[in-house]
Amino acid sequence: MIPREILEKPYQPYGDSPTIKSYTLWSLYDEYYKELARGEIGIGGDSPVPEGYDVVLAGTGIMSTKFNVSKTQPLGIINPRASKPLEIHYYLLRNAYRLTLSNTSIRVASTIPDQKSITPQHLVVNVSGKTSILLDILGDSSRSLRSLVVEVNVEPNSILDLVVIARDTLFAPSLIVVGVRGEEYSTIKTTYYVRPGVMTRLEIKELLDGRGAEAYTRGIVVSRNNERLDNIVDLINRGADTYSHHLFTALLYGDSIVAQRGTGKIASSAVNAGVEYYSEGLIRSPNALFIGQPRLEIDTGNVRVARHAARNTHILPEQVFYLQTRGIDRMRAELMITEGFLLRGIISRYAEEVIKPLIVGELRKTINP
Amino acid sequence: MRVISGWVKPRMAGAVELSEILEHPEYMEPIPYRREIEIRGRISRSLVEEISRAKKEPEWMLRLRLRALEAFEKLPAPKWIYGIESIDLDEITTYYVKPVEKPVEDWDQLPSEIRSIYEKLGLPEFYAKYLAGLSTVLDSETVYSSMKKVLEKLGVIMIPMEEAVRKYPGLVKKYFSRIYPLMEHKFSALHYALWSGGVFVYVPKNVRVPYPIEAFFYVGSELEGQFEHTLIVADEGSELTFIEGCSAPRFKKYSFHDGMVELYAHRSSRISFITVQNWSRNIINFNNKRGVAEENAYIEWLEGSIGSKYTVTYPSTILRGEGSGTSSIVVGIANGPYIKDTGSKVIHAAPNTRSRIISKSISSRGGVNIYRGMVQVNRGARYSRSHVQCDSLILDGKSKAYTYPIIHIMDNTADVGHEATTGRINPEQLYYLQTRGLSEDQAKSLIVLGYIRDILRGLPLEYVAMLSRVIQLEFERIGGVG
Repeated sequence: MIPREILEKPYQPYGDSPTIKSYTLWSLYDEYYKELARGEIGIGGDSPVPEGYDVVLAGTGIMSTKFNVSKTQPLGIINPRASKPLEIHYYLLRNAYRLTLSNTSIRVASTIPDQKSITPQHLVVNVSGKTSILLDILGDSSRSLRSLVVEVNVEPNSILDLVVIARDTLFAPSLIVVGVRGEEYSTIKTTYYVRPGVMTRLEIKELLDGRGAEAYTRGIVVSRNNERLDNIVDLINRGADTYSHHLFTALLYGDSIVAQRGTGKIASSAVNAGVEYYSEGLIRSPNALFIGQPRLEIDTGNVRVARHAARNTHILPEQVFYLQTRGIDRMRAELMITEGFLLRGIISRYAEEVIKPLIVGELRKTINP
Repeated sequence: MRVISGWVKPRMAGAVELSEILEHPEYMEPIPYRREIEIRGRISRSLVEEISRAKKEPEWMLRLRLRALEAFEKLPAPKWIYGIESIDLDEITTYYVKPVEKPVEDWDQLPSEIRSIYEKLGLPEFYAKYLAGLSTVLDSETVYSSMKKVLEKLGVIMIPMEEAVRKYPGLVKKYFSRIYPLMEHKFSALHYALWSGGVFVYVPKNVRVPYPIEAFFYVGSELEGQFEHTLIVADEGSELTFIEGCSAPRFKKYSFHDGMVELYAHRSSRISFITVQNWSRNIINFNNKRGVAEENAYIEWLEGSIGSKYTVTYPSTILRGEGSGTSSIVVGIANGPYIKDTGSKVIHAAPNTRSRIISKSISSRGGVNIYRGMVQVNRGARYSRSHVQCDSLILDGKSKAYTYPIIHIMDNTADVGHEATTGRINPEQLYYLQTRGLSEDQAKSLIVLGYIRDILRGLPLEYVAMLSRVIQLEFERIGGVG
């Protein structure tokens, strides 16, 4: 089913670097692709349709009672050749679906079947005015390889508030890709919260094509046990006077691995543009691994600001002591500091309202299981 | 030497600075000289055997070379290297020339045509002024080495690499290719198959070498490969500063440099390794550098990368012993359509280790600077600390600066940080200086030099002067900077 020339390709366009190889479980993806090629598993399957959502991507289908959904072609924001899993996604994809949103708020869920399969899902969204989207990616116990691509085009002078919540499965690898293109003077706010699965690959691409467009990205991760996340965030400034900003904070427990990589790029056409890119990891276990690879590619000297930083951080004894002197016990003090680390700098009130209860619940469960 | 109007000819009398020696080598015509043995041909087993035979090497070295050749043939070319497609190894056909039978210890014993190269470069004066020991490599081969009485008295061994292989086989075998494995990548394998020239330095226990030791590398013909190997071992409690300078005249076609430096710092020792690289703009420069630091040892790299068409170099340190440390200071200048792919790598493999990497780059006239670095803190390297700082300055709209850092943290007590900025000259700073009566060019000069000099604070005077002078000379070419 999948041609041999695709199956034999490396996972990265520049070959599989030793760093990427060291933490990515390619063999899990391969297991699925080979089983599909041998006809042992299928594509999609019956998937749950949870309540409380306006649109549900269930398996390879889509359903909505509130919005018009039509079949369409991919937008082209995401390059099909960027990685082998993406190439296979485009190869297996039969239908992409389009949503057109204007001055509205929408809740979208993605579900996949429980049985072993590969489930390609592709959603194209056109946004105008002031719009908020919640994309809830569900899959706690699924054995299907999720291959989800969401492409969003934000029209001139529009504002998009996008919140992505991914609670991935521990029984199958996944590929989640979100690409957003901003036209002139648009503003994109993307907040994502991930609880990784056994191998989650999450790619976010912000493409600022229009003059004066701005993108703010905020990523939050809590990982435990043997969970693995490969998070790639690319901020591409192609229009003049554009600005993009990314802040990522991860909390690591157990034997988990979190890699945060990506590029802040200012193309030669992006005169007077700016990019800032920050990644931080708080490691709470001697066996966890944090990898930071924030990159800068600046193709012009006419740059407003270009900066990046990556570090690991600690709960300082001074911070805990200060809170203890105020009557807060040690465990509660550590919880407060961790919450502050994860929740700082959230870029929209909507995102805070949605994500904060999830993170607080996750932390309480982790610290007081 | 042909002197282009407007450029300063190196002085032949009085004090000569290395900056002058390294000044604009592309404006020198190649100087003809006698070559007693010259091996030509494509990379093959017979070529490797011929090199080994000509050098009268022991069997183990030939076996190592052949193993490396096999690895070179098997390993893929690293795809991530920018511009690698422009290197055609089949074009390079000259691998080894030996202008004199044996390195001499007295300057006057050198053949006159070779001496004239160094006289034109101003080396004798420099040697007289600064250096305790000096070794120069001409077309891959060490032709002249000198060791002052003071080094002999201290028991320091400093001899050409080939001589060390024959004279101290046990000592060389213990370290050679143990720090930088031949299987690391295609070009390290190539280096081990074809290495020729270079210096071996051994500093005995508790000896502090009072003067910097200098090596000067010179590529003398086009389509030539230079593969010198430098191995420095600092025994317990010893200290050493080693400076290498690199230069070449202008060629119509390119030449290829694939050198290697291995440093081994035993307990509580310290090695400072300084490179001022100003190859001509036809040289493709791969430089493989790695050090191992044992308990409480310290390795310091200073890399001034100014010349060459294309440079790939990442000085690396493995902090193997508790309390060991390293610092890398990398200055990359891409002035014109050239690529500098530089950076540094550190592996923290023991507790309480510390590292610092500072990279400063300037891109102008279409130049590309790439910083590529890695800091890895292994499990069990408790309370290790690392700080990486990369600053890039782009002077015009068509130049580029890329930063590719990697941080691997496997220990939750580690403290690791990386920060990078890319910017242009601030118009407000320019305006301020212009209101003080400086022209725009003079103001730019001051800002660029301030940007570079910032990292040279605290370094020994002689190489601050040397490096900043070379940089000044380089930026005189972009209209007043310097």
